[in-house]
Amino acid sequence: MMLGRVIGEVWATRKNPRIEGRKALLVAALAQDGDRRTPTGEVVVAFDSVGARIGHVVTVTWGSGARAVFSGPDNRWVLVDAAVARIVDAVSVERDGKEVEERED
Amino acid sequence: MILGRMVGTVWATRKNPRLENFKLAIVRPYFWYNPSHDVEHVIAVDQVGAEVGQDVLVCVGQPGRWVAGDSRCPIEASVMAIVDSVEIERGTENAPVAPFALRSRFLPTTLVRVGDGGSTARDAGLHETDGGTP
Amino acid sequence: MFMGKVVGTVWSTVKWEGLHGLKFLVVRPYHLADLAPHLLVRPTPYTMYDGVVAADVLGAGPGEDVIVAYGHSARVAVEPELPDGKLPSRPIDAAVVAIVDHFHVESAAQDEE
Repeated sequence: MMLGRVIGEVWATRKNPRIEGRKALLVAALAQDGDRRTPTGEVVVAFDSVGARIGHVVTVTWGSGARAVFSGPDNRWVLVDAAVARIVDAVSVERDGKEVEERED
Repeated sequence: MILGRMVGTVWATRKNPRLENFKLAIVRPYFWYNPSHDVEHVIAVDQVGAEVGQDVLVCVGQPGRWVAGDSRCPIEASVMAIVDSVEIERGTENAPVAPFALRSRFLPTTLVRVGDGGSTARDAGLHETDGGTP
Repeated sequence: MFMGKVVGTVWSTVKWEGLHGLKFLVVRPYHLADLAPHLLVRPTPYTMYDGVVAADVLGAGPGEDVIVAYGHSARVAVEPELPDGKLPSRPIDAAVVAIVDHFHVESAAQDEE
């Protein structure tokens, strides 16, 4: 899983029928840089499952974990490579030996 | 998939018995995206009889094991195709958004430039810009 | 998955059986520097040389923007119908799953903090 920031949305009419109805979000990958999270430069596309909006910091899950977000136990036919599973409220990081919570709003 | 050039073969007598009878090709990618580590060469099981100097496609992951016929094979990359030609659109280097270029010192042997009569890079005496930091 | 621009095509006749009928496109992934450069806090390595070869069954062409998926999702994407119980078996690791009509990215003006 990774942390990312939603920066946009993508629309497509010509697409694989298995992704019909899914909202595709553009998410900029964030990396922990000391006590801050900064963009790595990588941008991924992930399907939204929680109503995330531009500006939200989110977690993105890949592979079988992403398929599980959108379906039940038998999910081999679900076409989801990456999913936004959580909108992050706060991340706690260690600073000066103590755990400090930073809110994302 | 990775597009690269087969640059050599790996010979090994001491290896996992499940790799017996598989030819290992050394492939140098022309381009890649977010590799997990710095990569100049990929070692891939050759399933199509490629030769040194040929442009090939390498598939990473599980399919290499299907093609080998044994899911317990320690294979994560396979040469799946020998490339006849690679067509890259002329003008992609100077595109206003998302420019794309090949490294001038390592161009695909089967490269064809399209959008301008389709002459090969070598015939036209084309020189690629070598990029740099934006 | 990532969004990228189709910049070329790869042609091959000698290839593993499961690849017949698939078109192979060279896709250059979009980077944050292309979409929202105001969000970058430091320069990142040059991305002009980034590229992926992806299988395509949707008919995308050079110059079009596409969404590419990796792994199992890619193999599911190129199999339109499979009998129950049969798993995808085309030996690919990346495939086009959508051709982009348009996308919206936050602008510098929206990012006020």
